[in-house]
Amino acid sequence: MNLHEYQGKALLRQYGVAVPPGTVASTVDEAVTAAETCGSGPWYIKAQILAGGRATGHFSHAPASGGGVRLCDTLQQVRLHAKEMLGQVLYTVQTGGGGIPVHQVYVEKAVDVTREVYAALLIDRRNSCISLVTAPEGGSQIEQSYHDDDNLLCTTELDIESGLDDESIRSASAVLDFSEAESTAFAAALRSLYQMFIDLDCSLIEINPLAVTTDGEVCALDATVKIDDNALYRQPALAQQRDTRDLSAGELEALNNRFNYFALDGNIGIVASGASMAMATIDAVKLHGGDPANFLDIPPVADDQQFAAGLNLVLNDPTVEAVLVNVFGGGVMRCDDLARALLQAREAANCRVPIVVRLAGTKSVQALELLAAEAPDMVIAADMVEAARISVEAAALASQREKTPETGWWSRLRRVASTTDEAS
Amino acid sequence: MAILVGEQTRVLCQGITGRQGSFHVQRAIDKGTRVVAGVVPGKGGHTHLGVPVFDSVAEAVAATQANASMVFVPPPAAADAIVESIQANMAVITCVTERIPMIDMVRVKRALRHSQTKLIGPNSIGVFTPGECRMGVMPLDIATPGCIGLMSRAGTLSYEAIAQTTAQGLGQSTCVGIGADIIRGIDFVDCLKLFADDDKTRGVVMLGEVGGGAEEEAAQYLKENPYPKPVVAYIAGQFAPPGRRMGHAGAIVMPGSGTARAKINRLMSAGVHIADSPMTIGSTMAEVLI
Repeated sequence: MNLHEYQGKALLRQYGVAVPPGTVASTVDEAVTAAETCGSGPWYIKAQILAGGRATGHFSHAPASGGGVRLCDTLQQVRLHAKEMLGQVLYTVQTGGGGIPVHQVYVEKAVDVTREVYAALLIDRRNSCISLVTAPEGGSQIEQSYHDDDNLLCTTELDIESGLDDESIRSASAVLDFSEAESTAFAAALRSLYQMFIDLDCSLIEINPLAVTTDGEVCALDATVKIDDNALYRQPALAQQRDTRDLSAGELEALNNRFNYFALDGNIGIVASGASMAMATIDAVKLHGGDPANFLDIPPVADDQQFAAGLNLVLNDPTVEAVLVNVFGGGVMRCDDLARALLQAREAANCRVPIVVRLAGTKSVQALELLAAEAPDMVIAADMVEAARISVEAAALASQREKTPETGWWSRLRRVASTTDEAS
Repeated sequence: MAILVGEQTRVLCQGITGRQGSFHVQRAIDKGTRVVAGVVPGKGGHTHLGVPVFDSVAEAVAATQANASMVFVPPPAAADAIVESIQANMAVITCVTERIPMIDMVRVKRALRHSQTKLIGPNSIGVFTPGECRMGVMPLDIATPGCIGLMSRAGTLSYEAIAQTTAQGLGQSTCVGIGADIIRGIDFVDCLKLFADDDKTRGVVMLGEVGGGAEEEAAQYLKENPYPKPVVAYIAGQFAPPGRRMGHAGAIVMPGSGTARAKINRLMSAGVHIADSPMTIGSTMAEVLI
């Protein structure tokens, strides 16, 4: 779970890490009030989106007016820039092509700094530990800097038993060339960050930049905080902070029912069990020239409620012109249970689009017999590639039907499937 | 011979009385796996599915000489269950549990550091030597004793590869689900080393997917070490849309990992045969073994 900068900074304050005075705002007036509350200017105004690269991003309506982080000398400028950001879509290198709408801005007092460094704690999957990454210069070019010169960055692997000990701090600080006073302040900040990382089940705390102010204080100017989704059951206060505004209704339903779903651009609804199986199904559809409408992975240990919710999402999706069901039963996942759930969900959704079914594994014979008896119009495919080919054909025919009201489309589809159509 | 588990494996199940544990232990017993003990704190002294239940792994080992543990314990207690089995010197542990907190798995990996235990998982379908021993959740009826070693990050997609190698008349030596989590026990390279030395294994199937670096590491290993057996790989997620990113640290610590295409290219340059379609894994292996 990603946290907004303002949420991350609130947690940093709780853990005693210095951050500049700042407040989040949802309206232009709130932004001006926030600036007044922080004290005298100048101020930074920062778009709150769950993606990085904000400073170098742009807004679609005003590409020349600046990115998602802007310096304001006057309250009038705060008002102007808040107006240009709020409610608009921000595009950055990390947002993907669709951009992300800005619902809130963070207004923060600009502080005078002498140095800006980079510091991050993260779950390091290569070394199966928590690693501390430090670099003598912060900024959004940090990844490129790394590729150009490995000596700039220092990765310190931490032992979960001994934690962030003095030795680790010394080794992480070596590249930073701090004075003794700065080193002491930096070490204190690191210890606070590490405590927060452990206490709150973080998977990432990135401070880019971590600044030394003209007063000698070590201060976090930005905060990227991710919480481990697997641990949210024991972090109830954090779980409530999830921003779901940019999730579609489907993604929200999936989040609430603990399965994986997101919408794609195409017209073939995908029902699969297992993430790799769902990805392989999407690959097969794409390789046959089709376009999946969604990714859906219902876990093989799903209960009836999860199954119904997943099937409903796909069968009620108005963009879906054909549905591909691809399930390999095994363990507690039985194909006959799935077939019954599929029949019920289709009935409830009053879904009329062609459904191509590929079932294998536990109780698949019984399931196919049931579908043949109860829903002879469903097309049964022998394997997932066959199912992909037929569903691509079905979606194409369904699109054509809208243009030319020809009644024979379904029999043409049946001919396509005739080699494997056990249901006919 | 097969790898990791076989006839000699004496299995205990942590969480034997749960829904998943009961279901899979019963099927394993039916097909000849030697399940010698169950462990559920507070239920010691009972018998479940004809298997004696103990309060702790140490007690179960003392009474039954169990040497492998399969963990069917919910996420909040799963990591402690694994650590308990590591401390009891189990040779093999499989963990099916999904969604174990990452920091808990960091602690598990720390506990593994000076042990001889091989952990398979978590979020794994387990390990299965057909005809001898099944730990985990793999379907029993699609497998048959044979010569293909399977190693997989996938769950149900693995069953495709098992069914296809069975249909090709090849069968399986051992199937290993290394698990889909970021922090896990044994990896593809560990499996490759074990399969290389296994007389029964004539070829290795790798099922990978987009994300992480396990496939790249396997490619690197195969490039640097002459491998005595053909390897066939299928990588899922060639058309997976890129996710939104937050921050730079992941890319700094683990640069260049990622797309299915990059993985496929690395594997091909290491001499691995790529199955283009999930339905041609078995036939590709049959062709290269001729």
